[in-house]
Amino acid sequence: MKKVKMLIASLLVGALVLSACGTSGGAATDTTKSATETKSATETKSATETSTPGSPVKLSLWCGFTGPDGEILKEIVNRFNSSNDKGITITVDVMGWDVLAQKLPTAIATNTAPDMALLIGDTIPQYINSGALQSMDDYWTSSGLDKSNYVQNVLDAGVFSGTTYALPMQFNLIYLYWNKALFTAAGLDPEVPPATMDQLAEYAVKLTDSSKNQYGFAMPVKGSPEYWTSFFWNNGGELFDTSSKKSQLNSAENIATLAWMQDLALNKKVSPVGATGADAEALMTAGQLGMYIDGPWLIGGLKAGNVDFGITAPPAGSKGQSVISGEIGFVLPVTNTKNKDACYEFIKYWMSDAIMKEWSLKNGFPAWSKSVLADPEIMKDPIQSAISPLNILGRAYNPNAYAAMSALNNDAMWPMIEAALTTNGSPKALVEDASKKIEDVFANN
Amino acid sequence: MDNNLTKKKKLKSPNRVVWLFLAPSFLFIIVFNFIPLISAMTISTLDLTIFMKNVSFAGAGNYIKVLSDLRFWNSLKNTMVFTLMEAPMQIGLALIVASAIHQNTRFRRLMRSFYYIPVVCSMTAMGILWSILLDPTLGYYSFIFKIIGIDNALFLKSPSTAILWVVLITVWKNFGLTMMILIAGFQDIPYSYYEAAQIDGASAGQSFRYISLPLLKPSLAFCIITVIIDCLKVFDQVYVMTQGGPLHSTETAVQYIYQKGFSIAPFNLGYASAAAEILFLIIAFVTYFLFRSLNRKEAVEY
Repeated sequence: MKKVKMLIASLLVGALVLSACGTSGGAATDTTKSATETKSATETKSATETSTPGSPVKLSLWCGFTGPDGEILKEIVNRFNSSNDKGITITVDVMGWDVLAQKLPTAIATNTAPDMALLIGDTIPQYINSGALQSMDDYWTSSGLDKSNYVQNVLDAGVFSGTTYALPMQFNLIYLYWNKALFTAAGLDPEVPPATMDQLAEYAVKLTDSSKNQYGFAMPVKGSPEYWTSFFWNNGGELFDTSSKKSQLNSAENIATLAWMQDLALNKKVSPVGATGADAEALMTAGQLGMYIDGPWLIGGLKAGNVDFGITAPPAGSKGQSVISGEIGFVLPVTNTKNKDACYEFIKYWMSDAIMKEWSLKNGFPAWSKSVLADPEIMKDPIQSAISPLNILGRAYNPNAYAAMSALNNDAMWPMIEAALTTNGSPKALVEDASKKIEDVFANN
Repeated sequence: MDNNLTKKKKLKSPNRVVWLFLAPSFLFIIVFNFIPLISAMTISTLDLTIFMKNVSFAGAGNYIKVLSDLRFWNSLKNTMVFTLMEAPMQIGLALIVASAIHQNTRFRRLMRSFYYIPVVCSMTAMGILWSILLDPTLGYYSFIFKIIGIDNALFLKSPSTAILWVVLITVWKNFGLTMMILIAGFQDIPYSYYEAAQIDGASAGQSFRYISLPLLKPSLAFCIITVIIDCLKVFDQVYVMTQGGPLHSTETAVQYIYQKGFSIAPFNLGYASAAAEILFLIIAFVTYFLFRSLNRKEAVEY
């Protein structure tokens, strides 16, 4: 009996010690995790350094696709690994985008970076300013692909000051999703989404029913795409000019737009207060949200939740219809001195018609090569046929590759939106305050 | 004479062995405490970003920028508010619970395990769990609040109540540890004192006030100091539950430092290190002050 007690006691102590190691501020586990990851990256690197041409090449790729699209990506990579005749094997390392943004710069600085990484377009300029990426100008000549087959503004998104630093992996706008069943229940035509901002407001009010915990149109205050850019731009307002480093936020149009958003949120209560992007996506997939503006990644969740949904462009305003565009691109850290050609092989594979079509059909992301856009399967697919014509509405949020973009976005713009949608602050004061913060960021960066 | 020589020999050999035993701990402290401390001080005088290129000397520039930043002062204010709410709640609750369950009955020992369970859970996981429970639209607590009549409780989404809920969740998570330390303190008090007090006709409250509290002073002092230091460094729960929002109402000092150094361009490590150094000085001063005032009197002995 005493022996059994001793055994149980020592097992419990062991468990306690292990859990204590885990909970000691997560820092301990984080350092061990990053230690093993950098170790595997260095192992991969040393394996490639000793390889001679023709022998197996091992590449590492870091990305932030933690959702179901990450699984599809890994599947495609595995297919590449088994089908390519150059002996190239790629290992994909998936981590959250914010974790990637913290690990990659230090990895490049300490020479433990992967051979390739996938980065969100808006985050690339700061890497270029710090000389962390290498030019990919020679890609088109070495791959032999026809550059004119690809949509020009998508390719341009990876070109900074005339040099190609990123090759597109995917491209997307944000789209207005609407729940057709809720439209019918509210007496609206389920096949006709709102085309203007005024209609959006009108429909949102009709779709809101607080007794059923049902909301008309979600307006998150953080953690979502910058849907409000469409509202400001489409009403004729501008936000800031990063080439001349001036704030353009303080204008009558923008104050009116902000007041319109505030009214919808606080008075008409069409959106849950203080919602995050994740909250809005959860409501939409649960069928409790009438309309929401989000990226194509929502499509998988809506299909899984059996929501009968439609997809179209965010509504036009009085002065036009622009939609913020986003892209994710392949980049090569400067530390990748030996495997550039092998990486180009994979990027060429990715840009082939078959893979681009597969990614578009499975994920709902728009195709961006003319041959795929003309493909009959794409043209028949209900989602692809709805979103392909919308590509021309795309407008870059950071057209001049301003390196401190996230400071503008997170220190000035989002706090203004949050204050407007959750408090009764006067739109004029909030706009003036945000404009001043924009000027502070420009002054310091 | 002979005795002295042998005594000296016996004193010398333990010394070398002692250093050998201390070496691993010393190594650990040097690598994880001392070196980061010195590096932080160095980086705070530099103009350094996370990309580690174009490093230049900034002198006191970073410190001036930090001290003139309103958001930094706001983060210090939030940290103080958090500490002033959390420490008394945690220690008070732990004291009350400890005084109820320090006797060694089977039931009481079981209850101690239950109260200790949140301590061993990961703060990150608990933070995520609580933010789901406290979601105003989809959360269980919002449902319960509606039943008892409070209709639009926003919990972590309202600038006025967010910090209160972060405090409550932290208390829930950590009071078990404080309780255990105080129970050990209670068990050090000989039962005969309570018996003597009972014979003299003291009530439960009086014996608590005149016997338990004074004899608990060393444990209480330890708890107060460690709890306050932990409160001043609060980060995990804020990062996971509110990310400093809503409207910077829960943005504590460490959360602000993390944002400026790792979350938002230009990832200015120099600036973040300067803020971290200032926080370090504040914590050092508070700790010194607490040590002086709490250890002033000798431990009470009967």
